[in-house]
Amino acid sequence: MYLTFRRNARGTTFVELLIGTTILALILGFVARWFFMQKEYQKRLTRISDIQNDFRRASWEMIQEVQMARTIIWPRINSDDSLRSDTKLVFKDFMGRIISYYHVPGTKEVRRCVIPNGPGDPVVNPAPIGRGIATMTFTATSPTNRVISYCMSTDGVFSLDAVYLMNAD
Amino acid sequence: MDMNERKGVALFLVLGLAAVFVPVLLYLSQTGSSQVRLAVKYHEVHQSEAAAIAGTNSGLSRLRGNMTGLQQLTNLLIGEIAYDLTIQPTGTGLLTQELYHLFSKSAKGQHTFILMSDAEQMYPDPNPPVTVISHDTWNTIEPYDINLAADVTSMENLRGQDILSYEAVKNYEKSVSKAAYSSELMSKRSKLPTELQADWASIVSILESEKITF
Repeated sequence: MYLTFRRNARGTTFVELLIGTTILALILGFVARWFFMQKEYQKRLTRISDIQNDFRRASWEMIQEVQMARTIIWPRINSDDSLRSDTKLVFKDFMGRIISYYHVPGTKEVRRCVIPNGPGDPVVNPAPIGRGIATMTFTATSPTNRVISYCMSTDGVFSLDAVYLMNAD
Repeated sequence: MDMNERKGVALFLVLGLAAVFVPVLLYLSQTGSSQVRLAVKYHEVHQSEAAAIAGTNSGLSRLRGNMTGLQQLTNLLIGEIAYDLTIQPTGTGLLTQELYHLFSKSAKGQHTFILMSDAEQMYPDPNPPVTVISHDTWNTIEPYDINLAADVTSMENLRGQDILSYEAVKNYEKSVSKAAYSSELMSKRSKLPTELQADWASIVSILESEKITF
């Protein structure tokens, strides 16, 4: 009775506390490691998602206009029918104006410039149509100048798409 | 171990568990954040556009299958995405072909997408399928009701303005000589962004060679 009382009354020893704390620290360590790994993974996914959103936004802007355009002026396939790529695209839009999309590597932007097909000065859109795009190339693939492919890349994420022009000259 | 000590241990465990689970819950809430909503938005945009394009193709196929007259088809499905298709006769052409307006509309979430094109249905000679020529296809993200005449007219007026602008450009190209046309374009070179200046002479050369002359 006396021994039992003493045993129950003595509280927690330092060693028991140490073992308990160590186990808890280990569990917390594993959980924290898992948590930070997940956080890093999520950061990476968010970054990729952001880049893809930048690509989608730029694609959307360009496709809306280019699919309605009349003809691609630049780039054109080479005389031996081989493909030609450039960092700028020039086309006649539905209204016959000369429009150019061009990549600015320094700011990672794709910009749009309207060049009047007649008297008047060129006007560059105040806001870029694409942001966060490290490289961009337009490739002529068709002798009829009605298809243009384009490739965008940023931080190892790529986007490849093509537009077919629906309207004739 | 008396009651107070047990309470202490229980409190310690509860606090420990809270310390573990609060960051986990935070992480889970982050995954449902704006990035996901943005991705859903773009997904809806693409789905509505794809359904509208598929709708146009199905409309052209109907005309090729020698189906004639007004067709107002609603809630057609491409997979799980619905689209409306309206094929509207507008008269007879010079070659006695039937002329049509062809509308395809798809809405997904907050996004509406309409494609409109003119189609010419040539009569079968002697048998179907018939030749269908589709041209001047254009699109809009305005939430038009394509079965309402007023909305169709406003779409046409909008496009009509563009066609008038194109007419003005064509008239200009016809009215100037190749040399004057080229000279006018070359005079813009210094005002262009530097990215365009290097190849501008080659671009102008192509424009000059394809200038409308008649």
